[in-house]
Amino acid sequence: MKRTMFIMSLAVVGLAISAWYQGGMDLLGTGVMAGILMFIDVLPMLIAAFAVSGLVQVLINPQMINNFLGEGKGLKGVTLGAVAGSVIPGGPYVYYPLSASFATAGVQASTLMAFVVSKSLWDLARIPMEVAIIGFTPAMIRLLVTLPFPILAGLLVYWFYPGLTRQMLPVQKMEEDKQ
Amino acid sequence: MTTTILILAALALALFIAALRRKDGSHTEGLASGAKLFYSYLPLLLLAFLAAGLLQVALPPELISGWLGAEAGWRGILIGSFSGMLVAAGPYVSFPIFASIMQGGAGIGTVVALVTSWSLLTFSKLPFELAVLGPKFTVVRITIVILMPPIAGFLAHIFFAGIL
Repeated sequence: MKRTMFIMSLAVVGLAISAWYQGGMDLLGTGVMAGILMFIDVLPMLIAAFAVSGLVQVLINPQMINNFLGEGKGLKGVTLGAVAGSVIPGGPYVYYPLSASFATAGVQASTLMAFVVSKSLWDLARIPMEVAIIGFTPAMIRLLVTLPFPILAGLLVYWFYPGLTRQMLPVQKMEEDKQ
Repeated sequence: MTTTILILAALALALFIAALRRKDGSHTEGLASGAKLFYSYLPLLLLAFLAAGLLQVALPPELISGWLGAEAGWRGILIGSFSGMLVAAGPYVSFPIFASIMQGGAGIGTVVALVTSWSLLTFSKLPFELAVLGPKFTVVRITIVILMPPIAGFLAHIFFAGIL
């Protein structure tokens, strides 16, 4: 938790210096304002996302999420994670809090990897926009060639990074709370 | 944006009603748990939004279209694979930029590499991932997906360059 805070602070300072170097205090101010405005803009969504997250935690016991997202079951969990990523709407400020509540409920890192990669590549809510703006054929080609990636990413974690589940921030937080 | 908030609000309401019907205080417990989660992530989220805002000015999206010009073929795929991650904006800003790059004569491989790279690696999502899932998950994910944009670009170029 502290380490993440530290890395994030470093990133913000680095970006602030880069903005200041390129355009002085004016550009730096524009960037900070853009961040604050974005935050205010998505605040209702953030609140709704965290409400859903909290209610999901209470309503659905860890056993149910584990059974559904297939704890330790490799391909099944990964496939379900990928499908969930495709269907769940909203930006990163929505699906990351949600994935935190999944992780707390015991969902494996491999499943969450498939979830996050699928959200990036198979996002059902984004496809209509992609078709509308870059065209039907290019959008379909893009979708087709990236189709196996979410499941592949999940399986790679399942095979090669079995310890990742315990190293995720929500799981570490939960263990800190227990102590 | 509006659709997302409507869907989320409806989802929250449905879950709240489901919790209420249990008649065991689940509804207040759920909201309290959500609020607690929100407060515990708030400092990180604020940093994440600051980083996202600063990214927009430090890396203006127009920069990218200037680089790519009419690149096609293998060179375009490689440039596209790495420049997509620099497009630090959401779909409403990014897709029009990709469309203009395509109209500028870039090949299908370039466009597919670019969209895939932006989807998987855009700097603008990283702050949120770091804030919520932590650095270890983010590093592992980047290690895994870093080769996907050029692979997607090559596949699109090999199989589909002829039909467009």
